Amino acid sequence: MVDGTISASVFADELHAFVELSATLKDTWQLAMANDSKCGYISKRQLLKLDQHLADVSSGMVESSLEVDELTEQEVEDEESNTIQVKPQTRVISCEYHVVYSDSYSVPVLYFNMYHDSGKLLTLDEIWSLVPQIYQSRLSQERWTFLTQQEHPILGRPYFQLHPCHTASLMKHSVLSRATKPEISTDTAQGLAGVSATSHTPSMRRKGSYLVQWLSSVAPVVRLGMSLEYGLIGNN
Amino acid sequence: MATSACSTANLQFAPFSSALDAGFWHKLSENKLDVYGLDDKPRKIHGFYFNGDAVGIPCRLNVDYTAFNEIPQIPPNYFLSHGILQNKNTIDAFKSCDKKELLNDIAHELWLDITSGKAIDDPTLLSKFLMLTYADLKKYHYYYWFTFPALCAPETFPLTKKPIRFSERFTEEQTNAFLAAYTQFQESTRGQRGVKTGYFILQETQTGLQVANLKDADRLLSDPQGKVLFCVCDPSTLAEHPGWPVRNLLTLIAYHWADKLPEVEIVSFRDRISQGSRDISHSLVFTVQLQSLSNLTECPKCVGWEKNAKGKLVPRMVDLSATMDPVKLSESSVDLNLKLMRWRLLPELDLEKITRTRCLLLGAGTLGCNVARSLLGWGVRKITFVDNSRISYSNPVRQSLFVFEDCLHGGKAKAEAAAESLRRIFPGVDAQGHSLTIPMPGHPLSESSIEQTRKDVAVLEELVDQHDVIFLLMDTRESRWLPTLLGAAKGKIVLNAALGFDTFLVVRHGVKMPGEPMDTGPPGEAKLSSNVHGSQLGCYFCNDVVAPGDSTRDRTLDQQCTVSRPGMSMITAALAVELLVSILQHPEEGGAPADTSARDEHITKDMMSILGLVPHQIRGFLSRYYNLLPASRAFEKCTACSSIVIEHYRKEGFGFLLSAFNQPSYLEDLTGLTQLHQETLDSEVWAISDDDESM
Ligand SMILES: [Zn+2]
Repeated sequence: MVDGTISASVFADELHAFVELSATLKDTWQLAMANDSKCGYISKRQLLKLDQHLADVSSGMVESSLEVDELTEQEVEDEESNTIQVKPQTRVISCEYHVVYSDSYSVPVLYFNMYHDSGKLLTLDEIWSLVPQIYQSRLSQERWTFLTQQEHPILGRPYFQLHPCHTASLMKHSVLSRATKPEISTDTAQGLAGVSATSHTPSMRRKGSYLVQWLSSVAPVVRLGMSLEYGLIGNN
Repeated sequence: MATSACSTANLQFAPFSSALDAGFWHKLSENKLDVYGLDDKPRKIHGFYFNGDAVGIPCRLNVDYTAFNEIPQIPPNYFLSHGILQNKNTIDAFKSCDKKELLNDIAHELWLDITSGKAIDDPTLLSKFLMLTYADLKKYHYYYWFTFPALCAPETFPLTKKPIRFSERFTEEQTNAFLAAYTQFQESTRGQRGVKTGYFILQETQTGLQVANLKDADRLLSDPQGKVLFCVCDPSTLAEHPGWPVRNLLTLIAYHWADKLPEVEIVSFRDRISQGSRDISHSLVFTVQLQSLSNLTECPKCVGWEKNAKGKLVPRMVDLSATMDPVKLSESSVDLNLKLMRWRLLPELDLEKITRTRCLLLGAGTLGCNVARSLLGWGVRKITFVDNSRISYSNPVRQSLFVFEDCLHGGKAKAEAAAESLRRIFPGVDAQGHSLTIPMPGHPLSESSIEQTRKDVAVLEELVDQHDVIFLLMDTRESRWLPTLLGAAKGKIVLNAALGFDTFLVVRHGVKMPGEPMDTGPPGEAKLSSNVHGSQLGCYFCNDVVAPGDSTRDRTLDQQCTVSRPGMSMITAALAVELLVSILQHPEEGGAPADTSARDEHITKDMMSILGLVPHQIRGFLSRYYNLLPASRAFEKCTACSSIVIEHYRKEGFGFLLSAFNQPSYLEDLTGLTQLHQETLDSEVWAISDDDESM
């Protein structure tokens, strides 16, 4: 713990505590138990509206599930007056976030996918274009965390992953600094989002606060919604 | 109570739009292969919808990887929709199947659920969908078309009270009472399956609001104390229009209760969490006039096929090969792995350049196999082998692309087998093999073999043209002569690797720029100015003062014998590939200068690639685990790379080569080595034994 890592059993406790906290905050994290894994994982779905602002950064993102030209218009009489003709509305991207334990790094890992309504996954470049500008520049300089596509350790399908190799040092710095420095730090190593919380010693940690702290620092990078109340409730 | 429908607007509904996840297609593919086979009978699946989306999000019917679960696994706060999957075996069956009949079948089922009252007991039956699919599992193309059946009865839904917000219809106190009752209702009615009810009744009395099941409707409707409102969990976020689930509920009400209830007040219940607090104030309340259906005996017309993004009634197709085709997945993960190295350590690393580099490997023995594997590791995608031998029993233990089976029945041809093996390791590679004999100088050709040799030379010339890098990995010195000449004449990067028992040599040949004047000067390390430009560096033969002759004749060991320490070829092959990568990463590529002294203080910045030095030669001594990095200039009398040789080849082509093959002293006479011999006594030449078994 002092080195920023956590054991699988602590992770399992953190998951349960976190899901309870999520329910209190009316968030939608769900616990999933994997058959062959001790601690399971948690997941959350979220929709991302590609509003004007985002549509700009992802302008190249055109869903390729278009009409099938060789399939001639089918003989279907389906017009009737009770249906409103929905104009093409805001484009929506579905996001799915999973927090899974990494045995090799002894830290939680964030796996996620973003996809169109056809089920087609966004590419790495498209995902990058959705990373808020501020983190894009910060990440390109510091390069201490990055996105890669990996097989999901439990579901066995490709997911994007925030590489766990710096999680321990991030959490170590956070845990140590929080024991000594109560104020919000500007050091990016404290967390990408600059999220900090009230001071307390690591031994007084509340269950779930490891996940809260880690997740709130990485969430904004991948547009995962995370209420500030997690920090407030989780640490009091 | 208003009974007239005159000039009233009709209620219109927002249709569902389908929302799939990649996991659904994975699961469908798996089921098609492992379970369904050619059986295309309808299968039960599940979908779900949500009544808490933010404004602007269309009504979505989600179908994900849990769709096939026997017991529906619905996310909290979502509502079940019963689906039928109709997966067709061919694109023709998908196109030609009768869409009307498909919709009719599901409409009849829905109508039966309504008229029989089954849907009163289990209102989830009001929400159904059908999914017509065809999965092209070779291309990972998925064709699909959803229908969300809605019965067109009554034909219209005249509004007697237009939709208003929940908060306009009810006080805050009532809202809180409703929420408390609703929460308790969901807790108590949640079946063993954990499925929430998306349809319920709200009874408004003097004392407050109660929530009840649809099956309590008869009792509540006859209760004079309270007013009955029908509630639907509504996926729509539009201010004027409820979503699809409301439609079939209205049909149900019209069939069972419209006689008592000529108009009915409906709550389109929307339940959103925003910034940690629950908000239902945007739910809609409206009143519609319902024409009774109690006398209707036939199943009414049904609509529901989903339009595509352009508003056309056609199926959709999604190409998921990028994330489902294992070949593409392996390619992208190999690329990502390399990119990871770049991101972490070498931001300037030009991986695309390496990937684009086309490599010709002359020799598919121990060196060829190991060079190919290292190239794969660097992401090289085009690898071509040339070899003329077959795989024998002694080979697989050292030649890392072969296995025992390859030796049976006389052995497979090495070049083709090596290419096939590469493709098995990594299907993304473009690997080819050519069984070809490389003619050697001083090995006279019989009259009958000239034509074959002419063809072989033509193939080799073409191969050299088609590649960027030539690796010389054969087991005789002489066979390296022709490709050295071709590489020099065509300005290719040539990497030469040769093995002794416990010594090895890796050389990058000087890359001659076309039209560039040849360097003059004595061979070897005689010049002390230490920095030699890549175009001035020597080739494998530049240090020789004898032309390559028939060195195989006096061999004491034949080619099957093992004369190198087994680890040597891996070391040497790896160094040859790493040297290539350093060359490719140097701004001058083959022109990268090298230092003859190999002393640290002589190393200048222009000699470095981002990966470090780009030495001319690496000479290794395994007995001392020691490497030297000498560099030497090209020799004007070199029998393989000197201007005079290249000019003769360019002018005379095969005729010149034929003279070199057939006349033992031809090259020495041409270059002036014969004369030099007379002037110089044997100088001590660092010679590498290449009597290895690499082929
Ligand atoms: Zn030479």
